[in-house]
Amino acid sequence: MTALQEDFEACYVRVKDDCLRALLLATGDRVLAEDLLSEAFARAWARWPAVRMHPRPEGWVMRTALNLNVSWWRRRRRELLTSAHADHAGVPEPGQSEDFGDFAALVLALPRRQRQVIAMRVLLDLDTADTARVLGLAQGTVTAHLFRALQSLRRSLDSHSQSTGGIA
Amino acid sequence: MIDQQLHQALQDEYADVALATPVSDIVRRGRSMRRQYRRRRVAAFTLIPAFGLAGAAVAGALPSPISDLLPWTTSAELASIDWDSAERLAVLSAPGGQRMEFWSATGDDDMTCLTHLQVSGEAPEATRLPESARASASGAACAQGDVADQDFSVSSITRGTSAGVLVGSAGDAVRAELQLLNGEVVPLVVTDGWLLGSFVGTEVPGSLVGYDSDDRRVGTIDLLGQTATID
Repeated sequence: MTALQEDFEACYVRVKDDCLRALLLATGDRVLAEDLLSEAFARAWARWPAVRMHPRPEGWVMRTALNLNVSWWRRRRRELLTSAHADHAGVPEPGQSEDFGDFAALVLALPRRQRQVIAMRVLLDLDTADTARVLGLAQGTVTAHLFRALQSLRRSLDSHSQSTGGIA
Repeated sequence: MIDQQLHQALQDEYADVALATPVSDIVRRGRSMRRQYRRRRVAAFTLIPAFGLAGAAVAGALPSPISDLLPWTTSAELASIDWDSAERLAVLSAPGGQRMEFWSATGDDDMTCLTHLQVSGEAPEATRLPESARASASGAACAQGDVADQDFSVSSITRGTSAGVLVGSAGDAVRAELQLLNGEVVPLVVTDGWLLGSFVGTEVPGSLVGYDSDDRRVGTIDLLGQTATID
């Protein structure tokens, strides 16, 4: 094994689970998230000498995965248009999927961009600048999405607490 | 703070979420993608700058075309090549009683680069690569990792005033030949995964054909049409 491959494998082991969790939150579909991430990591390895120079290679991987999601989604568009989903397919309603806990379900109920920002900022711990690069947004837009997302979550948590006495 | 609570809550809820894909699968897929990139590049990138060079080589160091075996080679990576420890990889006969020497050296990140120079047949063998032949950022054919892992491909063709030089990667080929337009066949040297050749004349050779150990064709590259068929 070359030093380059060892370097890639170490990075893969270090970030793969966090990336999957973030992508799962961004897409709401476990199988899709795994497929996207595997493809994105393979592309990262194919370009590893360049990707490894990135200060946060997982940001490159996430951007690739999200771009792939868009292109894959476009391919499936006709099929999706016949479904009832208004947003990307596979996003469950809060509490509908046993794969997601209460907090995740609340996040998944947010608009797509807000979900993505939460996934990058909160789960992957990217800063605003890296999140903006990954999502192709201005930093101010990221901040605004994060603010609105947290505001929505705070309201949801408050109403959830009042009706159930606290989130489980 | 809700974002800290959220972070912890999501981490707890997703504690069992883990990507199960073995890294070996990822590496295999990535390697396959690299091959596809390289195949595209053989036709679209590699040969064009080589053919675009004017025939300027004379006795002494031949100008190397801007080429590399991998598309992501950067100046910084090439700068790490330790030409002081370069080793002579092969020596071929060149026109006019001269010889063509191929030297390889390594650098950071498993980078191996190769350069060549034409010397007088009477000159003693140098123990170190002469300064005049040391490749700059734009002057060498390079490969990341083991050259033997690369596909059958051409990295560069340099035309001189009386001779040309071809450098490539052998892939599965154990022997290869240049088929010139005049019908002449020029055998190439396959060594350490590299494909090395020197041919007389200033015309671009017609095609490059590689054969495996069973003498089956592993690939044909039309050097004029700049198209490649990898079997």
